[in-house]
Amino acid sequence: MGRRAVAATLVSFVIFTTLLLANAALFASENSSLGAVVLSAAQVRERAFGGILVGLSAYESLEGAQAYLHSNPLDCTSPQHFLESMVGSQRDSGEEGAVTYAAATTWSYAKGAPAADGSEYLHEFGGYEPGDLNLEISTAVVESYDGDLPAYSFQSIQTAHLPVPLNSTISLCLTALSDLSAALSSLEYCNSSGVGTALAGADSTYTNLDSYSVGASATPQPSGCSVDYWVTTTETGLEGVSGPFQLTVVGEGSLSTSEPSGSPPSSA
Amino acid sequence: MRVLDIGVAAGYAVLCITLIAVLSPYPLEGSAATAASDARASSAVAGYIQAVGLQFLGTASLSQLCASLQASSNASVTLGGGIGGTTCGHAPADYVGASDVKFTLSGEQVEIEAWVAGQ
Repeated sequence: MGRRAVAATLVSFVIFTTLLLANAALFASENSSLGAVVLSAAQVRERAFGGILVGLSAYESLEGAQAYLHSNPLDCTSPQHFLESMVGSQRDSGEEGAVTYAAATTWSYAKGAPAADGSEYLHEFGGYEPGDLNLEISTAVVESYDGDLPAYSFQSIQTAHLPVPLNSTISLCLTALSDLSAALSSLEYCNSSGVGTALAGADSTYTNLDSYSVGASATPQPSGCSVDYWVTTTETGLEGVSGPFQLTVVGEGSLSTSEPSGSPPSSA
Repeated sequence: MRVLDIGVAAGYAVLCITLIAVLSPYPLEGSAATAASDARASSAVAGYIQAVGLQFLGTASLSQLCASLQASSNASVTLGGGIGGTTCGHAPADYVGASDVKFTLSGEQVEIEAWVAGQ
């Protein structure tokens, strides 16, 4: 009887030990699997949010360019200087869900088609568009999960554009200046009357722009007549990423005529 | 002797059963499923934003956003969100994963949420 009891105890030891070890092995396996799934899920979340951050940086860059164009007139006689000064940068950081992030963005006017992808989050404003106002946007993103691993960092260079007919607008402005110069180079009188006659005769080839104005002033000089002239065009209703905006293009020039044929009763 | 034998065996059995209960793998399976569903929800949020574009979210009215979120929801993923703190869309009664993203566009706070329905 005593031996049987000891045997039964030993058998129960073996059975429970086996059960315990099997369960521990299963637990360890599931625990390892959970770690992998949680890590993978964190990486998916960081990657998804990283893409949104890149899209947001492109959006904000286009907004910055739009605001710059809206508030600064473009000089069509030196557009390159204007466009090269159109640069910006922004920094953003915070925590979204369990993802801690920091994003640093710089943007500038893109002269030629850069080797970069268009933003997937901007649709019609994404990518390089010949003839439009194109931007090259560089974004550095650093992310971590709950301030810990997995960490994810990457650098993105993308292109986006505003549908501003830059080349044609500048060309029309220069044409208008050329027309004015031609009309004003042979003033009959070096006064407002002579300037008015010349302006009326100037061929305005930029009537497809929303609004434009031209002007000139003549100042008699001992050796002839000095003429300053200018043109201003404004395109309104340009579709920007955050709504419509306007672009003002200005140009000015001056010339001197040696012998005005009439006497100036008054100057303009 | 017999009492001692039975006591040791019973004590060991209780210890083993307690350890088996504590080290149960079933709660871990649930946590893994939740983590995977949360990741799926965050992908759904990113996918929606990519599909409609940020310029839409920056210029849309609340009703336009709500209609878009509803149109993009399906049986397994429900989308919600809002503009300026006013939201639309509700979490389904039985969901296993969720994710939301808040950001500012043109001075307005935009929020997009996603819930993954349970099987």
